Amino acid sequence: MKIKKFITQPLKLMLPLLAATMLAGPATVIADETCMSPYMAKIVGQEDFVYVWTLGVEGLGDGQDKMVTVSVNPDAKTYGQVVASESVGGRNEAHHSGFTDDRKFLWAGALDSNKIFIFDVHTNPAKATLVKTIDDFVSKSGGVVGPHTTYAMPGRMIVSGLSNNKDHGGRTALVEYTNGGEYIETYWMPTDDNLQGAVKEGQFADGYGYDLRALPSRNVMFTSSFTGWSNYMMDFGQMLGDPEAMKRFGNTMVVWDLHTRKAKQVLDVPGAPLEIRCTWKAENNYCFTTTALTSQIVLLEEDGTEGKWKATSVSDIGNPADIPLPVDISISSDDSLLWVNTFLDGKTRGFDITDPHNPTQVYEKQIGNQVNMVSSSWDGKRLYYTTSLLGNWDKKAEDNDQFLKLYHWDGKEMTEQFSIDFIEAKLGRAHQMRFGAYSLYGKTASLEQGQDTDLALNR
Amino acid sequence: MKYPVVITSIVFFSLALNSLGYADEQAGDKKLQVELLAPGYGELNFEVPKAGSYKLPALGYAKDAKVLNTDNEYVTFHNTFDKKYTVLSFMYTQCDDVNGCPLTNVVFNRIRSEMEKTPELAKKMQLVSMSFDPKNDTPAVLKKISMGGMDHSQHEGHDMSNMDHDMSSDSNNQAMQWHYLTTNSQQSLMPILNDYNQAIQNKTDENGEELSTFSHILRVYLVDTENNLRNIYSTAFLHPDIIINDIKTLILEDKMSSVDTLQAKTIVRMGPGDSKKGYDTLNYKTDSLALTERKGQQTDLKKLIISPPLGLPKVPVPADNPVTESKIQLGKKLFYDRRLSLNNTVSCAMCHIAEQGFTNNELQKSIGFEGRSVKRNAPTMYNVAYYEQLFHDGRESTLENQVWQPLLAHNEMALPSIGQVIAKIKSLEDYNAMFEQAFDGQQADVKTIGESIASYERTLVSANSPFDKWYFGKETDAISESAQRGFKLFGGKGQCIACHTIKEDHALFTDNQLHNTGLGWNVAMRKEPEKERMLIAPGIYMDIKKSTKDEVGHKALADLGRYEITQNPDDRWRYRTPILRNVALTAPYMHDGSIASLEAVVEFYNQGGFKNKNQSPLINKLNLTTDEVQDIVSFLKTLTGDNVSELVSDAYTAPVGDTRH
Repeated sequence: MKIKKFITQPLKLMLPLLAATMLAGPATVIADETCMSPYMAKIVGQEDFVYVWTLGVEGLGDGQDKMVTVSVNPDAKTYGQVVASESVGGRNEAHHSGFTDDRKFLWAGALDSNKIFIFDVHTNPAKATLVKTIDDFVSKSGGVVGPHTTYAMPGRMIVSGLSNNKDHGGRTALVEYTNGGEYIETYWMPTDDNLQGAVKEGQFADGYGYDLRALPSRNVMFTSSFTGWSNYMMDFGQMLGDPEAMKRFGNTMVVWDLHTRKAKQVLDVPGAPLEIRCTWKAENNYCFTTTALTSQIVLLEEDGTEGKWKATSVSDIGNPADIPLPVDISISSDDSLLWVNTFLDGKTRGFDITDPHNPTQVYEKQIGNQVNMVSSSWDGKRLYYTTSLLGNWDKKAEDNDQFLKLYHWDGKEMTEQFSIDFIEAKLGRAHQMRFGAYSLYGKTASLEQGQDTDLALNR
Repeated sequence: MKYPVVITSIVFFSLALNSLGYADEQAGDKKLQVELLAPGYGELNFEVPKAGSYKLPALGYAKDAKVLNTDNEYVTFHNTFDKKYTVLSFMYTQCDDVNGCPLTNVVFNRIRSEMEKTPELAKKMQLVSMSFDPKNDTPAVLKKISMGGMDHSQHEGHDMSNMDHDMSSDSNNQAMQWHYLTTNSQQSLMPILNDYNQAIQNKTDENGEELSTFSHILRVYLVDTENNLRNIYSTAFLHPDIIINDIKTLILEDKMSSVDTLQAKTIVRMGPGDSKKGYDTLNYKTDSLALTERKGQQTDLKKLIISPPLGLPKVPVPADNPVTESKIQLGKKLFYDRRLSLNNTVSCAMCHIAEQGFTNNELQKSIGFEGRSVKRNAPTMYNVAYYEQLFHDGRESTLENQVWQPLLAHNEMALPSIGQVIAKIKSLEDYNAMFEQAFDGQQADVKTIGESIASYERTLVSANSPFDKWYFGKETDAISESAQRGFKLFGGKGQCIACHTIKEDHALFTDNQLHNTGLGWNVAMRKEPEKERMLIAPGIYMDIKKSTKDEVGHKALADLGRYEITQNPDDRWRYRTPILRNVALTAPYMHDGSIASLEAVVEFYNQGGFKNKNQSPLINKLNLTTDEVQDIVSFLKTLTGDNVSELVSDAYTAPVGDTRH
């Protein structure tokens, strides 16, 4: 009975997630974008900042890639404004970013120059500040090009590559670093001549890479597959007219043993599976991805009891014949809703995924002429959108919207709260967003010089 | 006072894994969340990876630290680690986070309990609990805990007083040691926490007042016998089965590394390493190669220039740039060096990929710096020494001169100026001695850079193909009957030989002239279709609208061929006749890579190209039958030199040049 009492009583101070996380106050609500590593420290309450990893545009402002800090707490006087911008030098094909597990540093990858820029976001959360640049990613990794996802593991970061320095094609690897930026190891994607112990479940083992997500409770990690440097750097229109280039897309996902970093299965998922999002609830053990070219929602789930996984296409996204180009996705923290952005038609679509085998579209909204990333607050009430896909893939001329927009979602309708035009602000192409908050670091806004004194977020 | 939870009841472990409901409160909002206790309290719901079946790469050095033991004596980490496999946890005894320090304590107890069954292993490992709360965790307090003399029933929120607790954890009575360590002050503690990246912060109450509890990320370290960090466990993986298996893996690792060595082998396969053969069907199967196997052997390149293979004439070498071994090696290094571009990502070899016919089989047209479009297909480097005019429009005269254009083109390697190229190469320490050796003490300059790269390029001669053995070597069965018929057609009905010329004692298959076939004219003048069928996945086609391509693409770069050099209207859309040697390796074809296969190329000529005002009079409709087209293709496939694997293997030995700059 004592045991029962122990496990059922309200535990005010017990951390609710599998990862032990940093708490700034004794009574908290967990709030975070829902696409982060489960190892990540969590934000307390309302996010204060969105860090937008932004691509420089030749002839616009300083032309450089930059980490733009936007104030997003409605209590702040600067709400909806850019409060800091840190240029990193050059146009590096800024793309994705991810925090270390202690959430003190934000690692931002660059798909062209292969640099990883590390920003301090804890000393002053109101200004993401460049503190270190890893510029030997390619040589240290043994030839991996295109650092894409920067994913937190305990005390470490795993970086998924997109390409290689031999042919700029799609064969690539995962690369592991310490939080301090020291190279640890390279894990090559399975290829036909060296499946590295994995089972090729279908027809494909292309060796390509893209995103990376983990389900620690099942000791499993998934990777998806996109394309190599030649394609992701190429003018999008030119690529669509190049039948050779169009063959160079990934058609696989790899299931890995999370603990050992060993590939276990190569699954056929044709049409460039990109972003992976896994469920959050303890009783749910499945993930979703979407395919960019074939416009499918794909469910990853366990296949029987042998520790095997399978990938099943469970829904169309829009009309696949129109090639809407699904890009970023976001899963709600209660695993009930999947937001899917489609780049070419500039729409966001909400899919009810309470039955993961039968996602149903329940909402659709035009966000802009083009849209790429979507980031959701943990409670699902705030959805942030940005526009840039890749420097040379974005729409040209007047269709080249570049913005950060915040919408409030009440479960039925979205209402725009603010929009920052990144072209007008001379910043560049708005790409990936990550959330920041004073409360993560036991700070209040009043401690920060020049910030609103009434913005004590963990009060 | 709160104490660590120490539990051995297996009953508890399994029950504790049940879903746990609890209320979480904020601003009056109550909601129920369902979460799990950490796996360390129970059994893992996955099979533990087999010990020795994986590697645990070193994550850095476990730094030394001066600390206090439970007898209030100064000791060091390294002395304490004592060349044993050490599981090191940072903790504090007042910790009330059930998935934090108490979890560690439970897991450590479980490990110790397991180790009682394997005393040999137990002797090789130990546990260390290092406190980050020197104020409360004095040596005396820790000593009491280590002796198992404390009851933890007061532990707030964890009423387990009636549970079966094993508190007899006197480390001296165990095969495996369990050390408790602390410091005498916050000041001496902080550098240690920094060294181990262990962030902590005091929790605060509603009024912002500091509490005696800390927020921290649970990090437990596995340290090997050489004081290297080999794993970091968080809540999700802090489990006795995993930790014990990791230690067994470290013990076995010598054996594993010898297995790895056995796997090294060399593969040279022509074509992209991830073959897309058959991609247009639903039956497509990948045939991909590991990049780690892309290894080769150096060959004697100079001998190819001195004594070119059967079928080729003497290699033209400028009098002022005689070929030497040191120039070839220097040129080779430069050719493969990605640092020879503005942002260190594009080398000559990124477009002239050795195994892809020293061109790029994966693209119609080249992609340069920052992904900028180049308007033409990358020409192969095979036999480039024999061209009298370089580039598709013949605008350059010598290889020595030609080298500079890609280096400086804004859409290729994008180096800003000749001076910048020279300065950059001079700044790369690995080049200085090589230039001095190759050029009699001279450094990198506009002359020596061009001469060295040209010297390497000149060595890429390739012949002694089946055709050469048949035609020049008089080996009658060196090529198939179909290829023999194809050769006859090549020189007869097919009229190919009019431009792809053959001499009595050698064959270059080029007249070194430029011609208008109509291909360039057609691209410039045609109306683009509103839709094009495109392969988007193996065997899956979709129609892509012209409007979509226009929306996301820049206008294609204008290409008027030779006219761009001469401004003579008669030269519009004239392009150089390519050497056909190794043509089977150099798809896609034509100056713009617009034709994917040799069959389609021959069919293009069979139809007489595209008629236009400037079309070469040498291009005519041919009326070849399908079989005749196939025969010509069979012949073209006999033009692959016997040394291509050797040249590609040699190319693989070149450093790629991604070293720190």
